[in-house]
Amino acid sequence: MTPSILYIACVVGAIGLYLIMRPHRKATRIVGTIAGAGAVAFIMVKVLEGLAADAAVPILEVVFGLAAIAGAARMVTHPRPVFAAIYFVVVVVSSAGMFLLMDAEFMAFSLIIVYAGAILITYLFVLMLAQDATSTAGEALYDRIPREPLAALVVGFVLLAVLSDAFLLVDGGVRPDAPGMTPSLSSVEEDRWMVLDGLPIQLEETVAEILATDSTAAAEFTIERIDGRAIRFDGTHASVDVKIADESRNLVLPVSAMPTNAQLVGWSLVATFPVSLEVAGVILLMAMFGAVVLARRQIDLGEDELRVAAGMTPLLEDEESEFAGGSS
Amino acid sequence: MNDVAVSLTQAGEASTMVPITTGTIQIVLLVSAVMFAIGMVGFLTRRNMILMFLCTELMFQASAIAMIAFGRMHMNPEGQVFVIFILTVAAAEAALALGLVVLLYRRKPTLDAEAWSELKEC
Repeated sequence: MTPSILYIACVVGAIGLYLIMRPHRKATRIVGTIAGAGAVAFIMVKVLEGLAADAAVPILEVVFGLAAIAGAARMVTHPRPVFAAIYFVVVVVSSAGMFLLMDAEFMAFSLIIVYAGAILITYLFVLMLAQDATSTAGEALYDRIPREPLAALVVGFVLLAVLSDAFLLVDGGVRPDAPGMTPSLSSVEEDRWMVLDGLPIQLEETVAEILATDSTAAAEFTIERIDGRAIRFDGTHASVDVKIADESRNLVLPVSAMPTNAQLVGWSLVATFPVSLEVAGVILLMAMFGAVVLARRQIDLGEDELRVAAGMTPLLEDEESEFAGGSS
Repeated sequence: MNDVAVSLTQAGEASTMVPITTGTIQIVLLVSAVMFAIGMVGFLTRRNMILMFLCTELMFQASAIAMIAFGRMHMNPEGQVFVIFILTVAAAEAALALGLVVLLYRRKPTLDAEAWSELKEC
């Protein structure tokens, strides 16, 4: 794929989005949808063409990606705010699907719970709370007519051209198979076993589970630690030394005992980024305070009352002050 | 020390970890870039204040996808940890921004961002 093909596809996609944006013209909207979807699908086909012939085609990623892009495009163009919020749910669910495909199970489900469950509901409530009195049939004029669509499309799609150029073309694009790009599997496995090493109770349960299948072994055991480390990893197998009734045994841990995704994330959160975790908690607390203070009903003071509150003398006489709004 | 390797279960079975394929990560990064661009266009073209904030959520979402993809490529959980922090910021932003929108709506009963355009210079 040459850069010019990518840039032409970006321009076609921008034209497609512009046509979808135009209010209440069904024909142009259909043409725009075809142009936009065609541009995205064309680039995807070009990306997959550039791969080795025996490489597997990531069909599910393509499907979820197209669903996410379609939801996003409809979200920014739909004239009804509530529908836009619901199309955002489509985006959230499809990106959760992509997270699942990328072995991020914990984040996939917390994304659905937090975004689709909590944040979107907040948005819907505020949309209902601030229902525009001037709108008829649920479509306000300002929701139908985009503001500066051409300038915005130029900005957005130049950014897209730069980003996709960096991801797909510069030095052959992002290539995990290039040397030095991905760590060796054994070092990754070692990191994960070391996480289990830091979870003593779980390690004990794992060892007890292994010993429970052996009827000859006694139930009492202690895990031996050398320099604080119980697990030893030789590049392929992780093993742990266990002392059962004064006899040392070397147990090889099964691969299924490796920490799961959620455990790895939790370990990384509390062991690698504890300060960031605290800061995140402070941010949430402050946001809660801010929301409470902002949403409290404001007291409207008259101009003269504000002067009095600021410690100045009132300008109006007492009998006139009722016209300044507010009571004395 | 009795150093007999005991394999009571199927220890040493093949690991399920595989590096991400080039096609997968390029498709996912392309999707994230397109979503970010669409979110930016939406932020600039939408007049409804609530939907402008919703478009920033779309941009958050796009960057979260990119972070998960890169975390998967380097096979460490730090990409996912960053997504947790993105979720935190998004939730805080939603709470504060929507509070502000409700406040502004009380001053002028419209959600049109142009209603506050006297704040701009020209």
